Amino acid sequence: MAKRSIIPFGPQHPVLPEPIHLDLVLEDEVVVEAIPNIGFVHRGLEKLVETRDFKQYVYVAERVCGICSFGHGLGYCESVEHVMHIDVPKRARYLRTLWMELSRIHSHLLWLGLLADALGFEALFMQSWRLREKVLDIFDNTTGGRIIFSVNQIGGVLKDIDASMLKEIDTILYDMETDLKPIMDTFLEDMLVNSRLRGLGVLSKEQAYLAGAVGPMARASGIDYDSRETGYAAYADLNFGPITATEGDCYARCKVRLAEILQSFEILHELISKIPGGDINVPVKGNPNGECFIRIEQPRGEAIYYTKGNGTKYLDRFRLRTPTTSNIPPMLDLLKGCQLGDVPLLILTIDPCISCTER
Amino acid sequence: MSDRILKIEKGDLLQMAVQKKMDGWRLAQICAVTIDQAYEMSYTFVKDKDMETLRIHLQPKEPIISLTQIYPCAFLQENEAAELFGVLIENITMDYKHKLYRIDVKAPFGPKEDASWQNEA
Amino acid sequence: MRSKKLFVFTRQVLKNLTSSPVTEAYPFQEASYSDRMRGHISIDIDQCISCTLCAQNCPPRAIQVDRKSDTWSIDRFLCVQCGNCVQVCPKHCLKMEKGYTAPNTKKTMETYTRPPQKKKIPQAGESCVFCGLCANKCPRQAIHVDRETKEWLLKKEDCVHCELCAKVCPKHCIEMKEE
Repeated sequence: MAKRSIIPFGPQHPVLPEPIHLDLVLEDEVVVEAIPNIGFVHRGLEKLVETRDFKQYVYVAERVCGICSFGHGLGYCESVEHVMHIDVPKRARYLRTLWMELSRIHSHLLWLGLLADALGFEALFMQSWRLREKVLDIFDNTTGGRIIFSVNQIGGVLKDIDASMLKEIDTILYDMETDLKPIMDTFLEDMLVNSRLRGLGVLSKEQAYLAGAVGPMARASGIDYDSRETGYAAYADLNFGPITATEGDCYARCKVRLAEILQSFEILHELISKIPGGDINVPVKGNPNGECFIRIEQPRGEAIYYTKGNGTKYLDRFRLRTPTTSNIPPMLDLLKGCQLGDVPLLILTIDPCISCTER
Repeated sequence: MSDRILKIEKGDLLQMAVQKKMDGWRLAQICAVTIDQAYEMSYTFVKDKDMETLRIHLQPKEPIISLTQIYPCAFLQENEAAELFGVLIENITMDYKHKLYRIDVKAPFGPKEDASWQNEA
Repeated sequence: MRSKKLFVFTRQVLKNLTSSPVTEAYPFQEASYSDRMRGHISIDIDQCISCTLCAQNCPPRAIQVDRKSDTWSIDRFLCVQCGNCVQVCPKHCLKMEKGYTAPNTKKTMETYTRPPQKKKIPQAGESCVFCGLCANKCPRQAIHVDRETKEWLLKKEDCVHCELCAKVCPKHCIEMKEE
């Protein structure tokens, strides 16, 4: 008879800097159940919408998360614009898409670095983050911030990117593609990395669907779904499709994210060649009155924004369902039956963002 | 972009959720809103490009059944609604009993003026 | 199929060994900032008219404006560098500049006091058509326009001397006069 024991995991654990606590019920070395416990960093940012007017709240929404910061600002703006029936200028939509895709590249490179770190492959971790730094430099030059951009505004964007800078970004992206190649090969072909990732934490398509997995997590299990296809910002004009894998293991999740970086490069090249001229914002009159749900594809998966206005400058309610909220239940499925030593890696592969989840 | 919001009765929720699950919809989001002294619960379902929201208006102190029996992944968001808004949700499979978030105030997002009844409950 | 390749990363390691560092040698070399960097807020206090729009529109409430003593203060450790105040300032006297706030052990307010100056208040001229644009634009709702009775009234105590009304007037009939 196997001996049952309970091991606490987190809230402080070397694998991820964010606080999530798990009670792991073990039979010998095998996890039979995991009970999640979050709530260490709840900040009540959703409540703040009642005391900051709807134009100011853009800056609060951005600060929900450090990595998807642009996406949250974008989601909030899109939802308010939808309620107020504002037609955002085309150039602003393209610029938003540009920053959003660059955010995706930087988020995925960050995750790849963390994955390499969790495997104990420090050199690979360093190379991934070195590459990510180039994206952060683009952000710094175009928006004035490396992580928090504060360029979104209800009705458009605040800063424009001129043609020479766009060209420069295009060149940097081509260089990055060359630099990404050896990193990508290491993740996908190196025997040691392979033996750590292949066949670990398999999530079947049915399991993923029922547990509500979103983003790269769902696509790695073969769910053909990408909320960018709903056509917000400038995505309706661009040519792309969801990237899927069928294996559903850690390797597939890594592969999907790498392929998404390459896809983002392509989207960006297309976008830079197509970007129209014109205004970058429109004046906003009146206050939001009404409600709507909006889906945005964040690097980590689909996020849902709900805005409810009451005709005053303060919104009644703003709700943000982050991708990690949806990805925690499938993570619990993954953990059942795995080895204790694999737990950190499995938690990492869902790309968790706990402070996002708790807001 | 489709965002339909259907107003339904409390009693129909379980049946409609089962129907949605049979038709292959995914539970995307659960959201509570405080309206005066009462609540509004929104359950958003997503199927590919379609999105549909079921809306239930709750009276103060009126309990609602949990969806965790049908969609187990609902537990986090239902616990959140119960804890931050004070919505009475019955039979959550993994009920944190107001211990999900480490906060001092009971139902900080709930109705403001009349917070006394929550302390009794 | 598990890959059997080994030493995939070796070339990258060797390249890394022989190339120069990608990081800046920061304390020995000056850090480079981008032109658009959002580092800290600076104010041209002579231009400030204490309209309080920046304080009202600051999400973390880091700015305080005292109209009686003509001061503008900012808690630099509360400021999140969002740049909203720069956006709303009617006199464009706020600027987002390069460089970070120096670290400190205490949060302190930095206060700027405006040298005394004569305040100008708007006065509508004869060509006024009572369109009401000035009243709409006034950040403090100090102007009252009644089209029917042809009245143009100013609540002096509410006026913040921002001159926005004079700027938007389609007939250019608003004059800023000294009190």
